[in-house]
Amino acid sequence: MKGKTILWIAGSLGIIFLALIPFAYDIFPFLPPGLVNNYTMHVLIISFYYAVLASSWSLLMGYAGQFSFAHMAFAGLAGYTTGMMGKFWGTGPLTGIIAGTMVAGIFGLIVGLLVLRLRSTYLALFTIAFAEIMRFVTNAEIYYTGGGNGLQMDPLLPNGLDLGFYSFDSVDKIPPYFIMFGLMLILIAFMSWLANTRFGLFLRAIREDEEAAAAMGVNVIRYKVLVFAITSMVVGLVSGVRAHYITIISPNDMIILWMSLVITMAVLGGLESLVASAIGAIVIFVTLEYLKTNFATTSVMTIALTLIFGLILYQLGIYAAKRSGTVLKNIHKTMLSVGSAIVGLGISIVTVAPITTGISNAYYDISGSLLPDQIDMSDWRLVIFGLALMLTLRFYQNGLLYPIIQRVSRAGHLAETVAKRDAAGTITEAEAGS
Amino acid sequence: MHASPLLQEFNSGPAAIIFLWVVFWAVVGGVITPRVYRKKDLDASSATLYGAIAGAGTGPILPAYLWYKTPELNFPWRWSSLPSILIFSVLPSIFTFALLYWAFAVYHPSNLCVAEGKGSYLFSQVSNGVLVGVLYGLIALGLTLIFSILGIVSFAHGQFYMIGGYVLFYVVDGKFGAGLNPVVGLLATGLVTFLIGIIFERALLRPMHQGKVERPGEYAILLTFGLAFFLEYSVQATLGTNPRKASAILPIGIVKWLQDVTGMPPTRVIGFMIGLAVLGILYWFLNYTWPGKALRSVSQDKQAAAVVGINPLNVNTLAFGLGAMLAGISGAALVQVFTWAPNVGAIASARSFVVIVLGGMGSLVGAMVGGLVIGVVEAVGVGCFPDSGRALAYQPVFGLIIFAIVLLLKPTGLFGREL
Amino acid sequence: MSEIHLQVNNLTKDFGGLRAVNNVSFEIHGPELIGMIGPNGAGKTTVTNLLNGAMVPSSGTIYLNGQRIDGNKPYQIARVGLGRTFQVTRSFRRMTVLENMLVPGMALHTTANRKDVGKKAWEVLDFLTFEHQANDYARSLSGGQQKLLELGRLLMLDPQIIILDEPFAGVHPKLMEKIYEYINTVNAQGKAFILISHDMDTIFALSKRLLVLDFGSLIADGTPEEVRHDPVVIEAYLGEEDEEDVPVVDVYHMVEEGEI
Ligand SMILES: Nc1ncnc2c1ncn2[C@@H]1O[C@H](COP(=O)(O)OP(=O)(O)OP(=O)(O)O)[C@@H](O)[C@H]1O
Ligand SMILES: [Mg+2]
Repeated sequence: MKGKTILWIAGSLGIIFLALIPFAYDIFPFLPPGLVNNYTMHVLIISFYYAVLASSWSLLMGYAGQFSFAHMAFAGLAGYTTGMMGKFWGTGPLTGIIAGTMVAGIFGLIVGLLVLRLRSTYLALFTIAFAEIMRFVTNAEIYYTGGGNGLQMDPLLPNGLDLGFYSFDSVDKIPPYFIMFGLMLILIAFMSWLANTRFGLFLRAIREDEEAAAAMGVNVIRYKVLVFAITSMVVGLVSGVRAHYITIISPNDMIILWMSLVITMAVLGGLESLVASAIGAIVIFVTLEYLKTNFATTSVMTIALTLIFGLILYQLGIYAAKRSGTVLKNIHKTMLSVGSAIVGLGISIVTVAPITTGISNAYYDISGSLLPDQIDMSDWRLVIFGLALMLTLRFYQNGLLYPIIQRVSRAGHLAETVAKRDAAGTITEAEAGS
Repeated sequence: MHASPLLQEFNSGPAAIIFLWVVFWAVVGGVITPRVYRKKDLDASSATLYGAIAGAGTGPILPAYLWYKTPELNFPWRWSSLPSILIFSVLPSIFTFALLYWAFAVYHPSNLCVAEGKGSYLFSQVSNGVLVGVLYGLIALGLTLIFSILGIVSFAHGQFYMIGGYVLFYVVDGKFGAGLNPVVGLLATGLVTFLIGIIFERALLRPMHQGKVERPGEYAILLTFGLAFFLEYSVQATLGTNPRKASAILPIGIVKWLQDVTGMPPTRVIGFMIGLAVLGILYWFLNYTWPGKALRSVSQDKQAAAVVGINPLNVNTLAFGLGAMLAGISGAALVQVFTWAPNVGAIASARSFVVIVLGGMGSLVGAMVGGLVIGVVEAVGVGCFPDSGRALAYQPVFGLIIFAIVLLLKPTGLFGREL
Repeated sequence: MSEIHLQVNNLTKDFGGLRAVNNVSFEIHGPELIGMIGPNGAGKTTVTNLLNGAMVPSSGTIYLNGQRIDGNKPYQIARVGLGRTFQVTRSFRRMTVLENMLVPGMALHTTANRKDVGKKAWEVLDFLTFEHQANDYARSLSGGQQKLLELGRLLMLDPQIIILDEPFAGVHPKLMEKIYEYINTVNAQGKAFILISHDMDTIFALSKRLLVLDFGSLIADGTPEEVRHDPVVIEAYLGEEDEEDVPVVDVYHMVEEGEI
């Protein structure tokens, strides 16, 4: 119980924090200028979009075990639907977005029906083929889709928004921010609710063993198709909004790279938790955006070395703590693990940083002519994320965030089980004795 | 924007009828045949596919025969099964093509593929397709080898191919690279990709085979996917995205001679020859060397291999390394054919999936046949697509559509064994 | 307790050229306790798969309480009252014991409410003296405990006919007692059982009626006493007839050998 309360408080604080960010925006004269600028707002809006994508992919993959690469294709479908409706029929964003959501849902349904027989690898391959066909077709059908140049469309609020006391014009970031933010909250809440109903329960049973689930009375086909349709609709909805927000959609939005980012986000956050993968998505997307610039070579080297040494020290620390476990028995185990993760990493980084700075400066001085002053991180950041994906999979299969959430929410549960088991054990022994 | 002039002589009526005829009977054959087989308690796993092909090619004739006689439809690759393969898949496929060709001729007489006296155009498209098809098969060989031993599809396959090409380029090229002999380049390519492959397998994939991983299937996909990501952007970060084009890797005299003799782009012919050579070496390796025999025995029966004293874990590592090396060498063979950039890997991966699914996952012969089919389909598709303006943009789609259909009809492919 | 009537007519199943189940007919009336035996590969599991809809029969019909169920989907058959366990336990490994129990409970009625189902799940767990592990992941259970979990899931499904495929394989005697108790209690509550086992002692002791399968055919159907002295069964199991005294142990050992 206590653990759950902590999580609720942390979650609410996070939401309030995100909801307050726009109020630090330039337009409000009473705040220091430049605290939050257009770019920050943009990055956050898009990160909310990715949060929904990663979260729905978790529902599909983490809950239902359906490995699909078609997420971006559904997103593209919805975006192009609203764009083309606007272009040919002159419909407004709202109509278009709703229609796009429907189209994505229908295609989700069809794909779901088609792939019923396919499992893991074959499913992944089929969905890749589907996604690639969609992308090539949009690229080629220039008359309808604008081809590689993309399809222009209306802004989300073509006439801006008039609140009476303040009016926003159509390019202001604040209305889209709250629209996307609200959508994200609603959709994730909706999916979490779904995941906690019979629907989520059955999906997990299907993921574990389709045949056994069927023998237990679960209508496997219906739920597998439904989960495809629902996640496609969720994706379609936010994709339509995003397309109108940036006023353009192009086939490049559907390349496998973006899909792999979504996958990485979900895996790093934790595939089996919708909220964890959403948080993972926001953190990763923001990080990725801010890594897109040039960095001084020495600082990159320092950070890399610090992390490596820091992690080694941290692991040593954990090992030592485990060895001396008997001494620490009475300290709350959860506090120990979460606390040591933060404190341990912090301490090791602080202690190592001066050394690594020294090393990298020295190395840079020696090989100064070979290394550039600045490193363009826009490719390296993706290298790092590929590496992070592999290492997370290998060593933290439940993701980085989810285990912490789970630890906190199940705090005390382990002790409880052990106590119960001991009690049960003594009873049976007593029975056996008598 | 505007339909190209060629498309304007459009006479869709008769063509549409022919087209619908083909689709209709394909659907009828595909839907009814497995039901008939199941009714008679026969193995129906291939009936959908063969029924569909039969319907597409011959209308009601061959499907009716299938329903009436219900012959055995599983054709593992053997010489003795060649006639059956011919009758049930190759011939009806040819008929299908002929019908579609006719449809083209009817509605689009000016199309280069069917125009009077342009037979040589189609021929050159097909032979080009065969040439490229062998190369596609070559790229996919490693992937199918890995699948036959480890039971996984490596999503990083194309990235090994890409790296192979780059290694050769930087070893051989005089301007950007070291300007060494192509043979050195090939060896370096093989070594580099082999090493990356075995390190990755040993460090990250092995736990999967030791039962330490909860959902091995997904783990393998995600992990190789992460590797693909990692490799592609490592290369992009260090080498940049400027496209590279290697010159032919044989002395200029031979290249000239090749061009004269074959009348085809010499770089492709060289790639083709390297492909055949690699296929031969692989055949020799698998059949006549000890590690090759170990590989084959593991692919047939894991337990038995373990009993004989082969450690299947090491065989896995070896197989993954070899698969990566095959990808690398095919990259090396093709870097002189195509323009090279870090993103060629993704395209090669996608195409290899198409090829191995078509040929049957885990079947080496199947990979070559699949490569040929895709090569020809793409070349003919591009050559004959009514709107030449869009034809090139659709090139990969022709293969992908066949791929999706095969996945749905018969996931084990043309020569695949049941999983 | 509603009427139980299972009627199996001329059930046949072919795999390619292999006839795994050959023209099997039998009926179950009321809460019977039936044992099904037969050497390895006799077709016992296949019969189970046919009954629960996991496989479609090549020919033959199955009626449950007058309703034809062959050709129906497994989930439909599960909901009309036929439950089974699997020879190799198939728990939902990454779900807790309680969640495992909720699945059939919630699947049974579209209107099922989690609270009621949860309450029932706790009762079942209590009955199986299993509640201390309710929140453990199924994958962390031992093999025997997973069998118990499967039995619990079945109770949640509340079927009229329960087929247990090898419930005693690899189970400690102490847990075995618990499973006997389970079978007897649930049977007394009016549910029919089909027990599949190679453990002859147990099956002869527990069941009131035996079905003997051999090469897919039903070669005997009668009380344990009848079956024990049935010449066809003796022929099939022993190869030669031993007039006077055919000890159960011998039958058992022959089967054991067949297994090797
Ligand atoms: N899905 C299948 N495909 C092909 N053959 C099968 C299949 N399932 C079972 N068989 C075959 O059917 C026969 C009967 O198998 P079944 O599993 O029913 O035997 P069983 O009586 O349960 O044996 P055991 O005591 O070993 O569990 C066997 O010969 C088996 O090889
Ligand atoms: Mg069995």
